[in-house]
Amino acid sequence: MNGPDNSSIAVTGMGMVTSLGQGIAANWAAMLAGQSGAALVQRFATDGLRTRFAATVDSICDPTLRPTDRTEQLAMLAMTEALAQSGHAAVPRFPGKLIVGVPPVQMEWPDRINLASRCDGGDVDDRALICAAADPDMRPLFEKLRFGKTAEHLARHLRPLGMPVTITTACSSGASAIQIGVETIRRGDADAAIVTGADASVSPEMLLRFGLLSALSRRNESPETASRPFDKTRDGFVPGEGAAALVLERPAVAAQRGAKILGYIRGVGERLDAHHRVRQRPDAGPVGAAMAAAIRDAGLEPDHIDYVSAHGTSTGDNDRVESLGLHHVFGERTSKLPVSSIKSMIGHTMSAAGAIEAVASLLMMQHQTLLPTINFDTPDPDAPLDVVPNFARAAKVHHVLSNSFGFGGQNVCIVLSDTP
Amino acid sequence: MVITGVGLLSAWGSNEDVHLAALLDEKRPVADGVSFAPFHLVKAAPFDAEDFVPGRSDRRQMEPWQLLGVAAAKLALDSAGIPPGDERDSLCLNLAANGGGREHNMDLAVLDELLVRGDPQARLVESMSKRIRPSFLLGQLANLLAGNIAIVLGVGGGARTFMGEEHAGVEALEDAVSRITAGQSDRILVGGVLDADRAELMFTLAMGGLLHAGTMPAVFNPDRNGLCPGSMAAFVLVEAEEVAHARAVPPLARITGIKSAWTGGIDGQDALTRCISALPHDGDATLILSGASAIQPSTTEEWAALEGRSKDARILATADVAGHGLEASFPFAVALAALSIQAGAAGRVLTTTGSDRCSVAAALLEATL
Repeated sequence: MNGPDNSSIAVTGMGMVTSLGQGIAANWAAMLAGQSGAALVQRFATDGLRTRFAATVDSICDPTLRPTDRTEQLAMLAMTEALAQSGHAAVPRFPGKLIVGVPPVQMEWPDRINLASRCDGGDVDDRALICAAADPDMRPLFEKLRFGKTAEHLARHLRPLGMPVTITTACSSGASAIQIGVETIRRGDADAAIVTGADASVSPEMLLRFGLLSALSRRNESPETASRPFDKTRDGFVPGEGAAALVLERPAVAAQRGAKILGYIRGVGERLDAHHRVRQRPDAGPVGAAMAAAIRDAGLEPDHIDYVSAHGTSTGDNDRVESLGLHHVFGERTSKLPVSSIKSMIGHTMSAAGAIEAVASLLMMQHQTLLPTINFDTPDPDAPLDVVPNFARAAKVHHVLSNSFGFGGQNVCIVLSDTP
Repeated sequence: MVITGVGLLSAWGSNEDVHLAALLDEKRPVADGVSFAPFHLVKAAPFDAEDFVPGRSDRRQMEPWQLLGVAAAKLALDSAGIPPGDERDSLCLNLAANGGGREHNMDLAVLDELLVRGDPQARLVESMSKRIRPSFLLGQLANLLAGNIAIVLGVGGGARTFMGEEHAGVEALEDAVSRITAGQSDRILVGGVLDADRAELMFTLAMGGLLHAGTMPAVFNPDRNGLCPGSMAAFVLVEAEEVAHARAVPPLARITGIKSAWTGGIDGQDALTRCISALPHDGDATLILSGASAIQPSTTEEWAALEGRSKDARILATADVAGHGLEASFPFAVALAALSIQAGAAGRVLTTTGSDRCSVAAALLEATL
């Protein structure tokens, strides 16, 4: 029996929106300059919160929009840009699969308060709440609370092949969406896929609950220096918002229609920690195994990798484990291998991060320039890496490893290349 | 492609034979019509979580929907003979779940306080901060079922959690079948879970006008107009046939095909008919297990697509067995189909599902002989 098809998949379109701006060009310029998108949150009151800043997308500022609406809008912006670049935008329906990596949906506090205020007689209990919920006035809110709704709404615009797929693997969701797209094309179920990772989850409750896990930075006095991956003085991640989209195609099909190929997804790999719900396995075994699996799937050796786009969240837990995992895979070469985290500039965009970092990786190959890890002042002896500190660096870069690790121990890695 | 293990938990407990008897004898579960009157839900039978999740600390960090899912996943692995160790370490998970778990009593207390004191938004953080637990986040993330299965049962290969109501359950199975067919994987544990006894789920379904009010006729009864959610977890271990053969495990049934279509709400009957016709044997079967939700018009459309398809085929609605499982409904129907075949109740079983408006799917299972 022949092995499965491990061929490279072409990228023909890219789109991105982050706290640094809308569009590939704006984001590349800002990242190249080492700018930070983090700032005190203006969209809602932050009194009483230990972390009062984030890297939010402020161009969408309608205060009545819920995180789930904002997530959908960010996904739409990124996908529109990616489609236009791919040349598929003029086609009446997208000739491939739609795969969307987004966070789970839930009712938000303004909706809960609205529902409770509709309870007859003033008692707020299940019987009263469900009667209030059954009022036809509440129907529009139901539309927002469907778990597949972002993909459903995007599918109405794109009319993709088959069912739109909604995937969640926490902070690996964007990478998982790419992985599913690559597999779908490799096995011949479609010639193309449009994949997106999008996340606009920043809300008071979100800041509160991640804060309770001691996961967030508390540098309220200087938000722009708070995200400091691999720096010894880091104190947690900075929540970010954003989205990225990629149009993936079978290379022969892209070539046939004369599309410009921007780069390739060459390998994918995944492993579960099976260790802890919110902490990574300290021996970094599964993290290293996921990286090795992606490199193997790409038909490469670790020595071929020129650069690593790190998960690099700016939490002590991740940065130590990721560094150890890199040493497992790259051995003595690790200290000389450039590794940076753009989360230092755009925060941790969670469900979007894997897709945003894949796009950034392709841009770095296009420009033969490595984006920096900003705010890197104090090297951490527990994470001995060349983190491309503070300034972008010209480099020969042909093969990139991009890491994504999520709560629940979900590790997904991707290898991107400028050749198939 | 074969199913070598099944794990079920529902109103009928965790015993496979009891589930099969409930299906074939058309028994009805006891519904709770009080907690969210005038609507109903079907609760899962109580089970001893310690039997499935021995660690107290593990149990404390899991919400009811996650306990249900881990228990059914363990049943499926045990029934398929996949012991802890290397075989689980390389196993992949494909799950359908909705997450969104909350501490409802905390929400009620916060709402009470906010509404009484006025100025609700400004008080929210203060009111929540007094009550919230660090592990609160863990019940909300849909992918934490995968995380819990990995931690408790030692599954290490990889995991995908699909969202999107009924079609998430279809996607979980279809992605697994596609990967195994293409040689991208050789064994995937596929499952779905629903905790119907979750207040905000019930509120959300009520907002959509999706719940049946009052006494509850059967799913395909013309007087039925809306669903009755049922707590359940349903898992099947799907393996490449040669992989199952190599470890000398007798399969319960073979999956001969799965087809799905996105309807966007237009003409579900025609779309489902085309899915069924695209299956091997023209989708012909002696037993049809429909995952219809009882929401209209999709349930009437599904009935129209099934009625008279196969002469003498018996059509049963799985939502009549244990309530409607939303994300879990398709895995539940597939698991029951595999058990029906194993028990000799049917040689070939068609399972179908139509979501409330967006997608349809059909799968065909048969005996391996």
